Amino acid sequence: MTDKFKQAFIEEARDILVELESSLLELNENRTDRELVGRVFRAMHTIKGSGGMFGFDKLAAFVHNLENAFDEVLNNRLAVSSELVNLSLSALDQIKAMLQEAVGQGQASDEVCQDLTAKLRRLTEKTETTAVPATPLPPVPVAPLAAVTETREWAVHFRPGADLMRNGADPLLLMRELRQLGDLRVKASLTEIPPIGELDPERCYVSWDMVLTTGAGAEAIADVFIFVTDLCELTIEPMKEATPAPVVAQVAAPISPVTALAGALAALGGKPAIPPPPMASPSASPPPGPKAAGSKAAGSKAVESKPWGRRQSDTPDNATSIRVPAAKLDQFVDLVGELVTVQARLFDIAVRREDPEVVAVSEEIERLTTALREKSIGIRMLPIRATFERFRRLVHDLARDLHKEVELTIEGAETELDKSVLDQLNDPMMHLIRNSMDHGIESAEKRRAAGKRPGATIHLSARHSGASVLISIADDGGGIDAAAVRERAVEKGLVAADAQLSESQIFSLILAPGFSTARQITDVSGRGVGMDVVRRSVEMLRGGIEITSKPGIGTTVTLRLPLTLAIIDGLLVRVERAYFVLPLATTLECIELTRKDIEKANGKHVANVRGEIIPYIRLREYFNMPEKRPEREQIMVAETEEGRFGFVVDEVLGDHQTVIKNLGRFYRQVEMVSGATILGNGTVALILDPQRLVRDALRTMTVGSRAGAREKSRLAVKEAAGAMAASS
Amino acid sequence: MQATLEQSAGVCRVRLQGDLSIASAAELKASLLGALASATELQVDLAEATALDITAMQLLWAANEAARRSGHAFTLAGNIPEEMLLGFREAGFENIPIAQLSPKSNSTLIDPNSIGSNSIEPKPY
Repeated sequence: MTDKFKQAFIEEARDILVELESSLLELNENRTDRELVGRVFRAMHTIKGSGGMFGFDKLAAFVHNLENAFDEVLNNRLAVSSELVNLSLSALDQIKAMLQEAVGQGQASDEVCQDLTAKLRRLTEKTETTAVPATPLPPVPVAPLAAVTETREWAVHFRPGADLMRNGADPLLLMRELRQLGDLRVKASLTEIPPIGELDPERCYVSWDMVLTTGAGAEAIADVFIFVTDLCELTIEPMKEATPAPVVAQVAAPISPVTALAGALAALGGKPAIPPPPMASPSASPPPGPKAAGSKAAGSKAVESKPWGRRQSDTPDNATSIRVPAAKLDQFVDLVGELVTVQARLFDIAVRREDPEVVAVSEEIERLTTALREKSIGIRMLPIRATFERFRRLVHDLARDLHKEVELTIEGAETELDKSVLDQLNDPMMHLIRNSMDHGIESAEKRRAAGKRPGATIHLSARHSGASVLISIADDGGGIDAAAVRERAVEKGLVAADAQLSESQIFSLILAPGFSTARQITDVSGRGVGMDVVRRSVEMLRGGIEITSKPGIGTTVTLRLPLTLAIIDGLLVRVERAYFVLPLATTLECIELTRKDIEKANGKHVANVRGEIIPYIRLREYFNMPEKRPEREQIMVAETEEGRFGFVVDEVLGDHQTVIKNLGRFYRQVEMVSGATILGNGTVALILDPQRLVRDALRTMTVGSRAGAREKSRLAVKEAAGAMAASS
Repeated sequence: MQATLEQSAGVCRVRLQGDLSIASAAELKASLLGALASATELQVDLAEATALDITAMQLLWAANEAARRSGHAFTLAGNIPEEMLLGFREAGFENIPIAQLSPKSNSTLIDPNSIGSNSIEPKPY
């Protein structure tokens, strides 16, 4: 049981860390944003608190120092500096390492931990002598709380939710914590306790009305319940008008001695000029008093116009969502995939039997399976936000290392993509951003000389486009020197010296394997490092890359990715007795190819489609199948990077939405087949990759060893089909 | 937690030992249900209990209610350790009959009239 909670904590902490990281980086840009400081502080507080609760004492102790530093910031005793942000970021890495260690991966270095702790302490200690100039704070002895704060009575209504106790929280301990704030009178309401027979022994049915007499503010009271806000109903309201007290005094929370100190100091020295807000409206925001007075202003802002205790992150989604291990979800989707296959078989049988009743049932099942499949794919869809946000850190660190000023902007972060696509998106995006930062974006001096803003921008955006998602990484750097790229490509023998190439064709040369590694061309054009890694990862995702660039204005790399990898919309085709699936996304049209047409083309593999000459690949020949062509064949015209190509098949059977199965390790070298699927009648259909088919055909054509290569791939494909059939 | 049921002449004494917490709540519920079903008078002995959480308190309360409804007697017997009493007090169960006991008394009958009393004044013990 404990392990389960620990695991939950680790997962939650990881989420918080991601958020924390982007908040910190944002804070680095807007150093005076108090709301951000509050957000950072609360995130740290949560990690510390729940860490301690689940036995991560070392972690809690470490985070405590970090939290202290931000407490100082909240109290205007410490300014946000690059030093603090960088130190905090290193500390986040250390926290991540500690979490990894807890799950048995790697080891967190104690030295780093101590070093960071010492540095943080030094930073916070400094504040005792060098306070932020705006708030000169004389060294005043800490006055007892009661002396500076007016106590008032708060009505606290606390109603634990069904799962509060099951999640390890204990109302008694919470009330004990409340008692530390002041005098607490408690009345339990037992009306909701059901008869003993129907009672769920692990659920708390009791709710409490409490009266707390304290000098602490609603914020501090709500903080007691910080870890259970999702799990309970909580209202905190002032009971009656107390003698006017300085606002600062109310926010001084005994929870943290530093906060208390700030309250005390402010009350003694700061003299808030504005009277406290009317007590009847606890949601009123604190007045914009002197800076020293707003010791927790940022914190309470987050609660503004919401019931006390509810925090910004407590969107309804949070409260009702559940966490499921990704592997379970994969199994689920896999099962749904099986179901789709079985349903297809059922439909097949139903049609063959010509039994209207079975057909009706089968159609109903088809409808349900389709819905089920769509839903299950939907579950795997995640917003791209987390992936994008992760790069803030990369950009920040790289900008520091490269001495460039770079701002990362994000657009369309809510665009959803299949989890497996997202997982594999990290590497290519990292390479692209690195390239932009390193080669694309010029130094500040160069930019100034070119009349540009010294601060560069990298813009990440995502948007839907049909069944694909377009992700672009745009920079406003120097752009790619097309002439230089071309020159280099000619030099390397990638293109003929007199080849007519469009700009986009030239840019796509960058993606060619080996183009970048041979020689440094960064000084001329930039780009290159790892671009073929990018190409390969994107192709693995069945996606494409498009590069546009304008000299002096910038470069945009757009990745076109499928929404999901698990399912493909395709056209089922037949050649002899073999079935193939061609992805619908790239297929443009099907046209008939008759003997007459072939004669007209003088036996050349080209077809005239409404005046456009389209070369085609006859799959029968490509896969070396018996030469017994039917009278009429079909050409499937597909759009590829190399232009439009046709694939000649015997028959087009219709559209087919399939669940992709991997061919397995043995057939990894078979490039032109992206997977396989099992048809309704149990036969295996190979899913063809038109892109690679065309590329392979072109390659073997130019090299001139076409027969040999064809023989090789034919064997491999045949073998793959055989193995799939045997295993199904 | 360990629960021992001792039966004698229509009286069932449930001796509870150790920590009464959420971990043993299901077990406690079963013991109480068993005791309620088997006797007309139920005595719950907390003398050897070492801790008491909300789940245990609400179960005791529910058992008390069940006994009252069926006209049976329900008592908290034995010397209740001061710590348990403090727990009841802290949870605001002080006006709840089951906890309205003096530690000295060996067996206290429940006063159904005081159920639902609204006062939140702490009672001296």
